[in-house]
Amino acid sequence: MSGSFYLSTVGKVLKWARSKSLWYISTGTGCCADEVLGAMGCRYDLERFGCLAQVDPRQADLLIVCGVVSYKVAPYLKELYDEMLAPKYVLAVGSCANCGGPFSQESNYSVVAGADQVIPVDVFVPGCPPRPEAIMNGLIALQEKISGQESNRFENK
Amino acid sequence: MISAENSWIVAWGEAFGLPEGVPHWIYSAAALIFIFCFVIVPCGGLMSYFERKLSADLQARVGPNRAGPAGILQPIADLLKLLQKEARSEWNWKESLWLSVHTMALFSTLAVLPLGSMALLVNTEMSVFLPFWSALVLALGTMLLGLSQNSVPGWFGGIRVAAQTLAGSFPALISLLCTGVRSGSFRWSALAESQGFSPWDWTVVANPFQLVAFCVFVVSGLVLLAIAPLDGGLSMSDIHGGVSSHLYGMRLSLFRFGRFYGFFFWSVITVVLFLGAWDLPSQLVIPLRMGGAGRLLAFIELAWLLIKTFALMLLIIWIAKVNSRSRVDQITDFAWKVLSPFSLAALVGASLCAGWRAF
Amino acid sequence: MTAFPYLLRWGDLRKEVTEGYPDPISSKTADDLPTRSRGLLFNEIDRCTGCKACEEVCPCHCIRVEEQPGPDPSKSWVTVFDVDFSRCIFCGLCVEVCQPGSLVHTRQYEGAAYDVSDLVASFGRGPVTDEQRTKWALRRKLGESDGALK
Repeated sequence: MSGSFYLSTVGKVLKWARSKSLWYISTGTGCCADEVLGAMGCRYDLERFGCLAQVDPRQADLLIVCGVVSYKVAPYLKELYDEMLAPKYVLAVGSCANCGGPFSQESNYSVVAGADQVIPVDVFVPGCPPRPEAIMNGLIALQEKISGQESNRFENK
Repeated sequence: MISAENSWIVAWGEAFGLPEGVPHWIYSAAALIFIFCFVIVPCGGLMSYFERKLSADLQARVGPNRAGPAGILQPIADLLKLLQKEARSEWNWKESLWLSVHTMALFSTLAVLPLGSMALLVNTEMSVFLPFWSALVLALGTMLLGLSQNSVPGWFGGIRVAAQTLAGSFPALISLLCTGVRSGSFRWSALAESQGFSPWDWTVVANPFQLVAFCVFVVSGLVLLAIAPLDGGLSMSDIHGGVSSHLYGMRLSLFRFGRFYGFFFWSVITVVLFLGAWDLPSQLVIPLRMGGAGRLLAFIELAWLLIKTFALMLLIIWIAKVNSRSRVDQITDFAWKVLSPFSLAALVGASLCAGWRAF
Repeated sequence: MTAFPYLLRWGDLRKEVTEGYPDPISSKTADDLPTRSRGLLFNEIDRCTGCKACEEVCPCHCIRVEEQPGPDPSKSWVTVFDVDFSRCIFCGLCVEVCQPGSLVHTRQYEGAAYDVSDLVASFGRGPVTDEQRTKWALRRKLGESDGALK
């Protein structure tokens, strides 16, 4: 009884709280950071979703990897991710963070093929760079993933 | 102890079903917990929501609007999320120290917080100074927290907070004296009785010196408790969070609450000292008190006090949002060289005014 | 003082400029974007000839085309046409070189996925089955015999 109550109601409330309060830290390693800044700004206003920019990884729940991950920066990205406290989520924004993009393995010796080679990524946002709406779409997808209502949002197949 | 003046607690206890003959300290503790849970904590949540909405408004944004209607549940979501964060390290003695100092300051101020003519736990000749000392203890806790961080931002933040507290406490204390000079007593009830409902009866407009004292008191409170825009020791962009740089989860929410609480009680005290306290028009008070509706009166007084407090806090937040953050050396410089002389001048002037009126 | 006009709503200083994104009324939708905006790619596979010009020109190797001989000797059967949107930089070169004009940019830009492999869009028709092969062979033969009769 109490277990099912926890899973049904309390768990739902806790999941809701986690999904509605994603404080994020953003790695501005590429030009997608500009689009994240645009999403933070007043026209797209990421704070509507309860997101706040943080400077300390320990106070953040969401790591937005926007930009290319080179082999030189990969250990620091891992360190940043390890500094964050569970439950923690990662949003890979743009082609470089998804899989290396234009700097992929065939054409470049110094770039990691995507942030998911280094840290586990929850949501991938395609685009080069993606529009702020696309980033917010990724954020909503992440919120749905947290609250357990995943749906495949990619409909161009 | 329950004295004749605060026997109001007993009536409240009976109303909430506490049996007769319960020791007085239980009444006091119950009152503290009640005020904490049903006045202070909701005010904290509401204020953080208002702050985010106001800053969004000033930037032509919308602000949080997803959690609950118009985002009103955002503070609850934040709190629940912070409670769920993983605990990375064990508590160490330094953290226990700052937390105990923080808690001590919080509850000691709570006990002396004036929340209406019927809700004065401590109402003595010295009661105005008790929250002032608690503010110092709160600042001490913040400083200890910074020093317990074992990191550069924490150390710098702690030292900055200490410097600001030292600089701000002198003008704050002197301008505090000005109101006592006018009312003739440092009793909360006397301070409230010397003012009235109408803004023309408030201490702040009694004479120009009181206006100066009011300004000095507000600004030195911001300096003393390192409230934005004078939060050089704690700001995110300036010093990487300063004393709060490595806090997380529950500790972060406790810290944020402590920050809110310092701001809140300083505003409450400012309202009680300068902005007409909880005074309502006598046409309203006398029938209610005669008619035995004292409890309703207490609620109305509390609501009126909190409305004025929130207006003052939102004004300060507004000022903080549209102005740049001051550098810490400029803040201390300003507090020592400008606020202190002005507060002394205000004290002299207010004393002369009081003397003029007395003769 | 700088915020005074904003607080008192003088002029249009206090209009909220925020677009509430998932809400299609207050925010821009894909249809509101400029005509030449380059969104996710779409291939109308019936018109695709499988010439692989797009695959060759793609700077980040995100298009993979495989084809087999089709029913018509002039047009091949495109078995695989995969666009890996996780790699695509939306440069539009492939659309420029597409001779039959089957490959186009849509204006859709939303494509968040929970896995990288979900970001691969497949437009191919799949491998040719034996049944299709015999059918096409028969049809070709019939066509030839028709021509002989004429």
